[in-house]
Amino acid sequence: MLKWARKRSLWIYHLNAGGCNGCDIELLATLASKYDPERLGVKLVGSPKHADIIIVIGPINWKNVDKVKEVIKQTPEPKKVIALGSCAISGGVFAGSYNIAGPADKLFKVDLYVPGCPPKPEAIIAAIKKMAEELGAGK
Amino acid sequence: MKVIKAIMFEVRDFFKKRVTVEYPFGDPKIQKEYRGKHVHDKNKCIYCGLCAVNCPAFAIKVDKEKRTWVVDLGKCIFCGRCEEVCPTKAISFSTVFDMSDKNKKKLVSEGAG
Repeated sequence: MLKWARKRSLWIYHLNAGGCNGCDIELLATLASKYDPERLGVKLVGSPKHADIIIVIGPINWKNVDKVKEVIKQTPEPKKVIALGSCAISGGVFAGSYNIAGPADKLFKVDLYVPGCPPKPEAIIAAIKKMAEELGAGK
Repeated sequence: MKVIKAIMFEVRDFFKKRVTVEYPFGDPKIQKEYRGKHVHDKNKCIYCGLCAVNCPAFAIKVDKEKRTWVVDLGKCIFCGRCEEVCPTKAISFSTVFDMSDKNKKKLVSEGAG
């Protein structure tokens, strides 16, 4: 019952860790009225303590690495972490720079990688749906 | 009078085409110029390595001797430079947008099709 309910009510926390704002705009376009994700129960929340899914954007730099780790730690289980865009997956064009603390999976567990620079809103919806199915199955 | 007018608007809008994209249940409506997953034509490719040299994110790896071509979708920024620079037009882009995967190693692909 709880799992079934969880599948239909996913709250997202949007975490920008030094991205260029391209993925942010695309994520906000996804959450706006044209794609209307509230029909899937997807909602943006302001605190990681309320979230089910954390969407990490950008190559994490040394200045915000502690804050990112803290946000991941604050999120209650079961949580899912999505690495959105090339930067969060591998560093993208910033890979190998002196100020990059490494791609997201170097610092914490990432559940889904969504390539694209930036990914299309449809790709983000597909990714969220995949995570919803996993949470529904209780993984 | 105003109430009737409002009801008329409702009735008219009910039969109009929807402006929202109903993606998981309906058609995603992608333009054909969209740069999605790469399509690599093995017959056309001469393995010159120009795409790997010109790639700004160092996502493409070409082995000239073993004749392999792979692109790391996790690094690729989908700029279209490889398509532009290819002398035999072996690289093109499909409209496949859902490339997400749970395993990072599976993002390295030989291209669709």
